[in-house]
This record gives sequence, structure tokens and C-alpha cells, in this order.
Amino acid sequence: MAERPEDLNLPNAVITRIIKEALPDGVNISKEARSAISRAASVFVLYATSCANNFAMKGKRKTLNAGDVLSAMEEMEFQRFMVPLKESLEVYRREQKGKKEARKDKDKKADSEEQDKSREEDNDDDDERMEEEEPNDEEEVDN
Amino acid sequence: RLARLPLARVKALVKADPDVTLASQEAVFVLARAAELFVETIAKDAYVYAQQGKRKTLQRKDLDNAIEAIDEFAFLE
Repeated sequence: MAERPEDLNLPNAVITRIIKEALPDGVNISKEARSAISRAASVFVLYATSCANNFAMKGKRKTLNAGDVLSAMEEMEFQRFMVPLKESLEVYRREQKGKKEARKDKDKKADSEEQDKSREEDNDDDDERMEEEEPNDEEEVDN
Repeated sequence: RLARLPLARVKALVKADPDVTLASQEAVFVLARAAELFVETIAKDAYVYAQQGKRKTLQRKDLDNAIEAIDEFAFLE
């Protein structure tokens, strides 16, 4: 499945932090266990993606959306993730909306400095494509 | 909810699937969050075995035990 397995790893630092936060204080984790969990998480994403993609195809859509991922969770028997995921998604949507409005205000100011220009509205807001720029969520690279 | 997986890395995993054409930013976000929840879950489930073994260090075998015992983790076998 994977072409270059090294590139499909999730950062060790973040994985370790998540594990530490999930376990009681004073509990340690061996390097092998941490590695195994990291790999399992990657497999989880790959499997969930494939599952979600089936839902997208069923809906005759070429773009995988959040709903497809939620459906995949249910299919994979991770129903207990649904509520926290939906809540996180709500927060994320609000954050994205806030960022968008901030960008529009900035652009509006720039425009009015350049004299009147009519701006085209961005209609496909909610489902941005993968090519779009990421918000700065990038963590430090592992190793 | 402090630790966050970088969306770019998750996106790379999504792109690795040849059947996937495109994924929305929201989809990538939900996948990242789900992966975080998954890590929490599997760590806790594995820890049960470490406790049984009276250990305070989670080891690889605890993972293996959890994966074998729990249905939802069957896809990892």
C-alpha cells in the first residue's frame, strides 16, 4: 500500500504526548510500544480513509468529506468517537470561519486602498480542496 | 485536548490511497482527530495488561495482547 513507509509516519513527539496524557502519571512507555502504537495509528488512518472513501463513492462524490469519515468510524465500530469528533468538528468550523473572515477583512482593506474593485465571493468555502494551504498546525518533525 | 497531529502528515496518508481522488480539509481534520482518539484508546486498553503484569511501563506485548483481545482492533492483526 505505502510507497515510502518512512514518509507515512506520524511524529513521535506528538504520539508520545498523546499516550502520556492518556495514561496515569508515572507510567512509562517502551520505545517498542510507542513505535507499535504509532504504526497502528498510521494503519488506522489508512483504513479509515479507505472506509470513508467507500461512502464518498456511494454518494457519487469524488471528494471525501467529514461526513464520510464519521460514517467510516461507525462502520469500523468506533461509535464512541462520534460525539467527540462532532464536537471537535464544530470548533474547527468556527475557527476556519473566523480565519476566513479575518482574511476577507484584510483583503477588503487592501482593496479599498487600491480603489474600488468588486471582489468575487468564494462559494465553495466549506469543503476546501487538499491543494489549499494548511492552517499552521505543523508540529516539529520527529527524529 | 492538547496534543495535535499535524494535518500535513495525515494528508500524506490519505493521498497514499490510490482510490482517493480528493479529500476536504475538514475530512483530513476529522481523520487527524480520530487518530488522536485512537492512540488514546489503544494506549489505555494496552495499559490494562501492564497493570495485570504489575508493571508501570507499557510494553510491546501489552499492545499485542490488547490487539488480540479487542474486536475493534482486528484490522491491526
